[in-house]
Amino acid sequence: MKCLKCPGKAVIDLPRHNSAFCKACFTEFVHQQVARAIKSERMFSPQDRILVAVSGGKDSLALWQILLHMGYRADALYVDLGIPGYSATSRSKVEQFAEAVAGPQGAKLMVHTVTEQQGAGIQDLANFIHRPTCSACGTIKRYQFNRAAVENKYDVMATGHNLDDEAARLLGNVLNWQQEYLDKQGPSLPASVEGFAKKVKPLYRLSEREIAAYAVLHRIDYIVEECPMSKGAKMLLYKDVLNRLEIESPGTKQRFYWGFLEQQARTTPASSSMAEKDQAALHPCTTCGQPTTSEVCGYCKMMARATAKANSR
Amino acid sequence: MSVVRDSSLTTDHELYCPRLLPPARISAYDGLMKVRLSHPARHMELKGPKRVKELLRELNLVQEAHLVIRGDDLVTGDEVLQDGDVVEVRPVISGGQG
Repeated sequence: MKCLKCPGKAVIDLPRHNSAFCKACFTEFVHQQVARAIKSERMFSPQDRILVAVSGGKDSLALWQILLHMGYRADALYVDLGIPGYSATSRSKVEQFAEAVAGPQGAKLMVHTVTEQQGAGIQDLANFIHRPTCSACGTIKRYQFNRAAVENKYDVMATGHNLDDEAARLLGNVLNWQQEYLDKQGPSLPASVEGFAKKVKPLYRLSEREIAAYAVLHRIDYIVEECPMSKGAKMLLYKDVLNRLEIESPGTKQRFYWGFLEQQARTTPASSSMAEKDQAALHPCTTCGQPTTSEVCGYCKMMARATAKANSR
Repeated sequence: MSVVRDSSLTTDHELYCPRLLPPARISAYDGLMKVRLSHPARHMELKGPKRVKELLRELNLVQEAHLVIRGDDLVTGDEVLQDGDVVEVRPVISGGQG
């Protein structure tokens, strides 16, 4: 198969674009998609300091590499969740990448170790409070990434969420009619109140397969193994369903998510009124000061319950 | 098509490190296409020639959720894999949260 743009041999076919690219043209395609996402969603400028949330997986490491390649000032934070047999591997992938790729470009890696800071790994914390591990993990990561971004005065926090992640999340939110989540499913969320970092998803125009291909082509050494905690997670089911639709009708995922974004832009109020809504509903947590709708934020409630449970043992 | 599972071989490195395989097993692979899969980690030996799309179809895997890597190189769906090729079928899907 030939590359669509040059006489070279294609290394990846992209049915949703009815095209195939060689390594150089595919790399250009990926960089263009990220640049387009950054520009169209007004994510950040070359002067901004960016904090990338890295996990050791393909998406976050590819995002860090792409942003550095494009000349952005991007540091990263890794949250070590203490998952036996998994966190050590993912952490070493991140540390090796930071040393070999990001460090020489002037970027730094920060690490938050849950077992040290919170006194237990994610599995124990989730068990203490009788919540699914993925749910407790999400709460901890959102909290720690936001805290690090705000405390270290980063202008924006970037995550490696891709088209598949966003389409699957949208499918879940639509199936359950979770209107409040739909309102915040855009790829760029403003720092609506004091204590909230601006959050962006520069990979939302690229599929999971395209990002994995980018990582393989650029020899990014990422953790291929699935997180053992995510077995049976609904997100994986939604992704599988969407991929089966994508095979039958290429472009389904982008039509679904991008179409939602276009619809949302036409029908929902601008980000300024989203900020007003947040400012009316949110106030500082009495324990930690991060914005919350209740007196104590979800993270502090979770940690208080986990601590009480651990002490009663 | 035959699947080789061996609980004593736990890591990808071990799966393909010839020193760890008994001589009889190595000769059984000679000439065939060697295919490595994940989730769970396992390997297969298949008869070539075979197109990438055909391989995925036979394994009941969706192209949108996988990459096929021959040696160190990504290959497209129409590429023909031959006996002796070392191939990895790598899943690309990740994610939890719910």
